Amino acid sequence: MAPSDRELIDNARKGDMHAFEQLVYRYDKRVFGIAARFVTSSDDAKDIYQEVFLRAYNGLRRFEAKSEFSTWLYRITMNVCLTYHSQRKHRTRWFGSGGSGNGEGDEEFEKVEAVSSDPSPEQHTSDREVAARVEEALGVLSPKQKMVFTLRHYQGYKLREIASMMKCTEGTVKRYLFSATQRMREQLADVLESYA
Amino acid sequence: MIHKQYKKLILLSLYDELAKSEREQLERHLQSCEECRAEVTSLKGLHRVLEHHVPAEIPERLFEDARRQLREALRTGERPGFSWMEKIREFIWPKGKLVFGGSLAAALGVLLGFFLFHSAPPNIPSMTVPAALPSGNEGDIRISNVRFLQSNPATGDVDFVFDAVKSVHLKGNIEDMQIQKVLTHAMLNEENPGVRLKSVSAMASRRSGDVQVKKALIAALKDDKNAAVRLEALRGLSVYPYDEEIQAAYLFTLMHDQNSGLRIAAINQLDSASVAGSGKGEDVLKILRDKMQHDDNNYIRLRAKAVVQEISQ
Repeated sequence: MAPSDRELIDNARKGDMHAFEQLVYRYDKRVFGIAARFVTSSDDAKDIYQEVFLRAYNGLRRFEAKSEFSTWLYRITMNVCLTYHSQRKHRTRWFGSGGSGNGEGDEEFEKVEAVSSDPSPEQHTSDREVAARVEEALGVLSPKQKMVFTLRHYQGYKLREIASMMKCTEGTVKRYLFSATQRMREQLADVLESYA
Repeated sequence: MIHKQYKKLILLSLYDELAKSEREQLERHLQSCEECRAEVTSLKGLHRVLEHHVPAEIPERLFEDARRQLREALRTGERPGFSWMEKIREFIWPKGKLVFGGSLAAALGVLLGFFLFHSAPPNIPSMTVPAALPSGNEGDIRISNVRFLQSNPATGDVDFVFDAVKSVHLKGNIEDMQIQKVLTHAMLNEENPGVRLKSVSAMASRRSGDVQVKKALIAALKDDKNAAVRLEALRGLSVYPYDEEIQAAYLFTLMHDQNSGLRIAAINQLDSASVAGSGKGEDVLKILRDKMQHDDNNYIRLRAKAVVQEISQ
């Protein structure tokens, strides 16, 4: 039987790196998924991924099991994403770089894909255009709106789970979701019209 | 309830976030409210656009990169009393011999011999230049990366750090502890993959080894970017009695290594262990069953099946 999170945490605290690795592999796809939806390049997502697990590693001794390990980890992820966002903004402003401020070798994510199984070239182009517009619209949201929206819409987390991760009330999360949806609708008004 | 509130309920209903009573209330309202029915249509339109463009699968290689970088960060980061890699570093670089302070970090590899075979004062900051350089051998030392900390033109006092690089010729047997220290360090830190490979090969040729070297071999097997180095590390581990750590390293390779040759080597090691009566745990079986169905490589799928059958008998 696979060891529980609790057992792995106890062992990791004693210095068992294999136990920590098992914890990482248990949750890292979701962590990466959250990060990947939040930033625009793979390098940024990898930075966030690394920072999350280093923080978790350092904080393991302080983890008191008041919540699930996964909730605690996703809360760290959220904090790192939000901090990363503000640092990025700061850096972009100071150095005046355009776009996402990616460095050399930084790889833009292929973040969306067309659902159509065998799209015609025209359909494919149109899908990509819409995908780009969706990305653009997501970029207009505030960091918290974007976080709530992507967690709920793309990652499928329930609102109460998001509230637990954000350490706020479900009502607050709902407010972010409403405002995010409203802004997405405004940003995509012309696309929605063509889809109607 | 006003329209605005119903509109919020509509959004929540699309995410299946309504309580039963709210859902019923909304359904009743929708039957009589055209405006809210239009809102449902509009939101469904938005969701159709969004759902038509689902997030792409994150490529496996990105995970592998991220995991490798994380392991590297955990290995090299400052984690007092936590990481066994720290212990390896401690083993290789006793604190008392950390000469040249900050410079040492940069010049670590090349200065290895010098520090291993010369006793040196433990505290760098107070070190003076004459003490830092062995007298009469200045010609053998390359000085680089000089960083001034303070200088006072009035008094002529200067305070700076630098990287001092000295070649050391070392000859001995692979069973010698000093030699193992140097090669273990090279195995984990040397930039040149050829040097890492030779170091691992040399370590793999030993007849016995201690636990720190074993851990270094496991680290090389998991983390080295070069497949040949990883393969040599795997070979080197076969010298050691099969235990949970080694099994975990083989399983890790089988699960995560992108190189099929490495995965085959790992499965062979697991097979040998099971023949010898070890490595029959549920973890092993679970991973082998997974490999037998999902590995890209046909041979690995067949090997995994054969080993599962052997273990199950």
